[in-house]
Amino acid sequence: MSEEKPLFNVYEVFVQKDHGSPHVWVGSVDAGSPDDALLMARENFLRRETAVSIWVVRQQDVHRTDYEDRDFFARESDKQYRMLSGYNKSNAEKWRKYKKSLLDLEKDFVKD
Amino acid sequence: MNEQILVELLYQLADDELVAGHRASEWLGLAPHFEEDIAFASIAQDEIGHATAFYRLLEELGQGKADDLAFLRPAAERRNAVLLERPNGAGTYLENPAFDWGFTVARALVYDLFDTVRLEVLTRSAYEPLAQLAAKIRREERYHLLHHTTWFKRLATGTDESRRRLQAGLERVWPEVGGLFALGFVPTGDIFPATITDLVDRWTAELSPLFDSVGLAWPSGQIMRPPVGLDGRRGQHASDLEELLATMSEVYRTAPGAAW
Repeated sequence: MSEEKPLFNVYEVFVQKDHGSPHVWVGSVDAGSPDDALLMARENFLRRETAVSIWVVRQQDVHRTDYEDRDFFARESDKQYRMLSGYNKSNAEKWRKYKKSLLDLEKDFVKD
Repeated sequence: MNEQILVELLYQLADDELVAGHRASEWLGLAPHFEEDIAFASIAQDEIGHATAFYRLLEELGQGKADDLAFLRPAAERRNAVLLERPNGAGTYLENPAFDWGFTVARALVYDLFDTVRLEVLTRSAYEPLAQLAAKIRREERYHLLHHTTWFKRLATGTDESRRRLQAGLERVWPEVGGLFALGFVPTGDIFPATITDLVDRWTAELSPLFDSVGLAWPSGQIMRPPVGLDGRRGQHASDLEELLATMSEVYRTAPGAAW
């Protein structure tokens, strides 16, 4: 062996239950190659469940954030406008008014 | 259709799968790593499931209860190939098991490949229930074969030690491979539409490219006949089978009438 490579690696396993669903992380397996990892994933996570697809990714190929780096996730100012709940009753009211004003404009236009 | 021939063939199929499945089950808790332990145990369950299906066909033909056929028949009536009854290595499951993974992978690969070839033949059998069952089992065996092929390549190309152990396993397996292809009292015909040469040729055509791909030389020695005096298809067995049957049927024999 020319370079120091571990014989076994941890692979993270993602299973897709049906064609319409996303691949969901279910756990990890220890395996000697990506092919081995797929076999092990099939046996260890699909003994009872059925699925249409499995992904395995070597754990060390997963790039991750640092739990200590809280600023990475900082959200200090109001981001209400990005949330569905940010659009409440008063928004609906504003929309109705706006649409109505457009209609009124149209009427005026026709009159002319 | 000659029912005697059909019954002989079904015993070969059922006994092969049962004995192979039992030996595989003896890796439980001992396989090289946790993930493989579960994978190999699942395969063992599958093989025993296939055996059950074949014993049920025998039950339908009036041979007796499937469980009795599996657990109570003496070694001399068994039709499995001798290769499959060999222990997994030194020791026993309960006492100092020093089992041999190289041998196990080598045996599992040569057997499951043979089984795949045989199932393809069976899908063309004139006995319709058998042809249908063979088609069903074949789908599951495809995955088994992939599993064993992956391990074969892994050991062959892993480390010097893994390659050496695989080669040692192949050397142990090879002299008894011929016992798989033997047909015993089953002649080539509409129930089993293939000859021994057909089986050997198809098996070799699949396996030899695999040996080439990992740079392993094709082992020497004939594979057309079982070893002299050890033709399992004719009820000739090693003492290993007696020991296997004693262990396997121990619980069943304690209370033969009980519903488990």
